[in-house]
Amino acid sequence: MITRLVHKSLADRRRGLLGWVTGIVGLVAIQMAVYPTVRDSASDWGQATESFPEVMKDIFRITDYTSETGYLSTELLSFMVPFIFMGLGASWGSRLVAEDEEAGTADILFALPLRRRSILGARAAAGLTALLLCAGVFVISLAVGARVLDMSIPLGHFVNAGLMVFEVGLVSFGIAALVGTSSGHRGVGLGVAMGSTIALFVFYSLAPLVAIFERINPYNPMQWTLGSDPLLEGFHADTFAYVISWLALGLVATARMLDRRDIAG
Amino acid sequence: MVPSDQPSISVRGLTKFYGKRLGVEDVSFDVHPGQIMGFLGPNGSGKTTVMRLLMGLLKITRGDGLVLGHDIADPSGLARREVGYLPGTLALYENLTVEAYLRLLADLRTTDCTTSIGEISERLQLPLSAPIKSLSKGNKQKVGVVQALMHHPKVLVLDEPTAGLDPIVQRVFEDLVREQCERGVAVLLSSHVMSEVEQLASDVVILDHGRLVLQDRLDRLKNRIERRIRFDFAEHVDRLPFESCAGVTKVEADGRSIVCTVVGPESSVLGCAVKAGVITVQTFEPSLDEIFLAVTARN
Repeated sequence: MITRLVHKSLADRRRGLLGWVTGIVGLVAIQMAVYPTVRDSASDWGQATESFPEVMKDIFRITDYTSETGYLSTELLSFMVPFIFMGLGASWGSRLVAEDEEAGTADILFALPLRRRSILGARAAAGLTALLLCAGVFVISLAVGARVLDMSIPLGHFVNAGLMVFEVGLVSFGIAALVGTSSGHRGVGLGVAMGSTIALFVFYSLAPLVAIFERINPYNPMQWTLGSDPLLEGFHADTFAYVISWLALGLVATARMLDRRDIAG
Repeated sequence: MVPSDQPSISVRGLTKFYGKRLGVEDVSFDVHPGQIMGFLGPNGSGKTTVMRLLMGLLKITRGDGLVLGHDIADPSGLARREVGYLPGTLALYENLTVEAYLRLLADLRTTDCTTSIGEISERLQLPLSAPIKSLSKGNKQKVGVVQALMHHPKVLVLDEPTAGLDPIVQRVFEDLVREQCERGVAVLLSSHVMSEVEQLASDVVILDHGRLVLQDRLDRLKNRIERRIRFDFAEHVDRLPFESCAGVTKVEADGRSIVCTVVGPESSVLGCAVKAGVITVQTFEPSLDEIFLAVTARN
């Protein structure tokens, strides 16, 4: 019956979830609506982006801006949608247990004959479902947009893109879960998760320019998740497995932390 | 119901430190089936800490505790399976209706509580269809009471259960607790309403500054505390024989009446009064309030 907790978590946050979904759909719609203008004046845009400093092109991974894949990669996948999923993951991860503790509802919930890790697991399942749902919405938005604009990108590549931003969400979700649950404070979890994932993103972005960032880049989760072009390349099962493994380890550590501490009342 | 020999709640040397700050230290007591244990102490004395330790919400620093034979530190939650708990600071899921909230908790317990939810709510006059956010403090407290009782627990841990309840509902609550006691439920009841504890509890534990300072049956406790006995006679009597009676600490004479302050057994002073030809005897039992104040002030 622990699934009741999963349903409740999703139902409680359905308005917030609707907001995230609307944001994703809106962003994809706006960016794709602009693409015909870019396509119709490809040479002008090509010259313009060619004139960008190489540093900037490296940071934003701009390659072949006027092509369908190049445009979508630059406008949606280089930072905008990944940032949305960072926020989404941090938001859901930070409140797994801390939200109940801060609201005072944890006393009755954790006094039920349930293992603490079962409650944590149910909350985490709800968070991961929300992330997956948003990634699905992103994929559908891209597919619909592509059909409307008569793009030739296969659906499988959009699924790859969805999985990529889902992975980004998992990174911030894992950090937020660990910090938020260990501290019992949602704000701490949210702040640390957002701060650290943005820092990781900056290291990843500047890796082509800064030697030390380049050296640590293979260990940077943002390189694992954002380091390939999902609209051109196939699905990277190895990086996905990497992220999932680290998330599993993080959640086990989170459960152990929760088992060892007092529940705030 | 006569308390059985096997305690439903048993804690030994229970100690909790919050970092370096003492929560409770070396607390030991038992609560038997059918027994209502009043759990008293000034603010910050550690009552809520003990209750939250029993419910597995806090980690034990030292000592141990069993609820229905299960270790309270066991992470499986077995010790909480047949326990009803009402926390001192009650917070509910405000976005649910009363019924949805109670059903959620019942589902999480994997227990069908439909009948008991209906019955207890009716007795407490709790509107099941109302959204929790629209309820008054008293009605929210009723929700807390229902969720603690609805699964027919064998142990009740109630922290300030009547806070916010009106006198009529308090009476219903007291009836509910007595009924639970009659069917063998062990009750640990913390309250600042001394009259309520006095009416319900057979035994009391008093905590102060995190330590257990007194544990006894309520009637025996009253014997241990100074109380006054007034004797009326047909004519003036000498006070001296009363002053020499065992247990008498003070004698006040007023015409044909004598008021003795007594600690311990009253047989000696009663014998003296009978010899002097007493007509009426009036005992002023100490209230739990007075006992509480005497114990905590002494501590």
